[in-house]
Amino acid sequence: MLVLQQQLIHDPQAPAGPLPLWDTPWHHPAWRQRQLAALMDPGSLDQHGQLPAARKRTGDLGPDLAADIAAPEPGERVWSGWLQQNAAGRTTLRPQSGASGDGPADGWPLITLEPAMHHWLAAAGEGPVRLVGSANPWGPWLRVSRLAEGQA
Amino acid sequence: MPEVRVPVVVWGGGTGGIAAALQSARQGVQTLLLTPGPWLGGMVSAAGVCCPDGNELSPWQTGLWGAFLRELARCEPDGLDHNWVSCFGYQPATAETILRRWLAEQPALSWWPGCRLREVRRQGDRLTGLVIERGGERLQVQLQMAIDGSDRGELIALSGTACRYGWESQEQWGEPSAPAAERLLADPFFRRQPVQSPTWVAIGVLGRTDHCPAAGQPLPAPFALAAEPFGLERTITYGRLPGDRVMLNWPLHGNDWHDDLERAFCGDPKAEAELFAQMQAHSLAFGRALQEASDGWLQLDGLFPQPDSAAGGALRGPSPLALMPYWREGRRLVGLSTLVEQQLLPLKPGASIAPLPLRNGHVDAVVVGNYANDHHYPGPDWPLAAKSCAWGGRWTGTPFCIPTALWSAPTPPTCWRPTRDSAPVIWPMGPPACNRRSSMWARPLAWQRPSASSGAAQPPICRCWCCSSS
Repeated sequence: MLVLQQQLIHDPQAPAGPLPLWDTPWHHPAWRQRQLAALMDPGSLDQHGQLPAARKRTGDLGPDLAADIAAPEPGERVWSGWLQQNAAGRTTLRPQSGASGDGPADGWPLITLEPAMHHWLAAAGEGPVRLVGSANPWGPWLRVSRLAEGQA
Repeated sequence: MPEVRVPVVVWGGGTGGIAAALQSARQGVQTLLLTPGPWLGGMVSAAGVCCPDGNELSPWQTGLWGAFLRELARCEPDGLDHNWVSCFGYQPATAETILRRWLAEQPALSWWPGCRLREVRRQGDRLTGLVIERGGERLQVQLQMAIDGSDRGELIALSGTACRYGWESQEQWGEPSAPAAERLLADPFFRRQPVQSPTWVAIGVLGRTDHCPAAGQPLPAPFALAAEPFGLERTITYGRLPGDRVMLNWPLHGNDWHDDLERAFCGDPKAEAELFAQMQAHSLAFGRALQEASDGWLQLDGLFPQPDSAAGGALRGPSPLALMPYWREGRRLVGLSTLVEQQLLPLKPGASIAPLPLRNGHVDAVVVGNYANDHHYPGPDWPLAAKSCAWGGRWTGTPFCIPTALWSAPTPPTCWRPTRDSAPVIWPMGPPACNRRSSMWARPLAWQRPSASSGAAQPPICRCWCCSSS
């Protein structure tokens, strides 16, 4: 492994990842270990940028994050409502009646930048849900980062 | 001539130049960052493109980029969710303040704004110094390493370092989205558009209503089709920023500038100034057209300082125009290897990553990027090999790695350009700075090969757009 790669990963102020690990957000507790492991054994990274599930299960690379874990952000809030899958295959949230920020008439389209939330949304059916995120009326979308406490 | 000695000199203060300067200084190396303009930031502040749409997903928010995004989120009181092109919308001054603070925190780092590159000093094939102009005075900067972080590769050009510029044929690198050599030579489009079209961003402010009150008056030429794909309101709010500001950077019949772009690469300051004035006027005209079509819902608005007050340190002011143009393409350094399109595309159909760069069995990667390919040219969309995937409710680009092997090769400098016979010309000392402004902008692209009698060290006669053959 290059000294430069190690220095980037261990940078105390702004650690930088040389490898594209789709399952490892910057705030993952084992972020450094995962980047180093993939550099030592690049063949272990599959075509979807995922590390082997067995190594994540046994603990040395840490489990993937649950959908209720993400870094908190300024301005985020809890959004309660009904999760829907629309005809175009997009997931929307229809806020509880009377809640502030009702958003578009057919509900807020949901987007996420977090791998755990992406997988949760892909597997979610319809039903009540409480999510943490920020509204963007000009998207328009709700950018959700995690499940609210008690939802998981 | 006064002289200073600094081990590392960085030319250009965009995100790349700042990252290089910061990391150099953080290693304890005295570092000097030189910028031509009064601001740092390039695209992310001075050029006004304050809604970046690459490396958005949390796995790619690492390094200084990730730190920058989190600092933006902390400093913008209304958050970053304001538009539909990006998840990060902020005011230019917010980004500029952060970057200036980061630089000021490094005792080994100095920043000199308002500089002009004049000459280079070299010993053999190594750069040993720069002659710059600062505050009307020339001075020499002795250095051990120079880093060109500029948008157009100005130091590369001045130093005659090996570089490439403009189109390359599909035959040259096998890139699936590149034009065939025959077409490249036959179609005048490729001579008219030597590089992607830049934009001079203008800033507007929206009225008090949440939505555009006008049903949509028709836009005048040349913007008549600008709002057709998405409607007037969506066109205007594409790059909405906090404080009801909007960034006008609209590619579809909007304010991309397409004409006579070689003026930015020929080394003639007068030609460059003329180009910049046309770009600015075009963006202001686009803003006024949107203003009229929206019944005044959008107004051109001051957000940037005038260049003079920016040089005095101002972060805000009455100008709707960004402080510099947003270039999408510049000179490309010739390194130990060349990053080609195949290294950015999915490994195979259905894959979610590009091939990992391997050297001697080891991964040679140092950076992850993921921008979805798009091209800015006049006319219809340029067809590109598929690179994006649906993820998290939106489309996102396949991540790829930048290898260290791209770093500059210790070989004699050469500059390659396409020619009539499609063979690359080796330009021993790099492209000459064209100091002959002429009316030859429309001349066909052609670089003569060095003649046997001229010797390898003599530049051949330039017959580019900028140079008269007489």
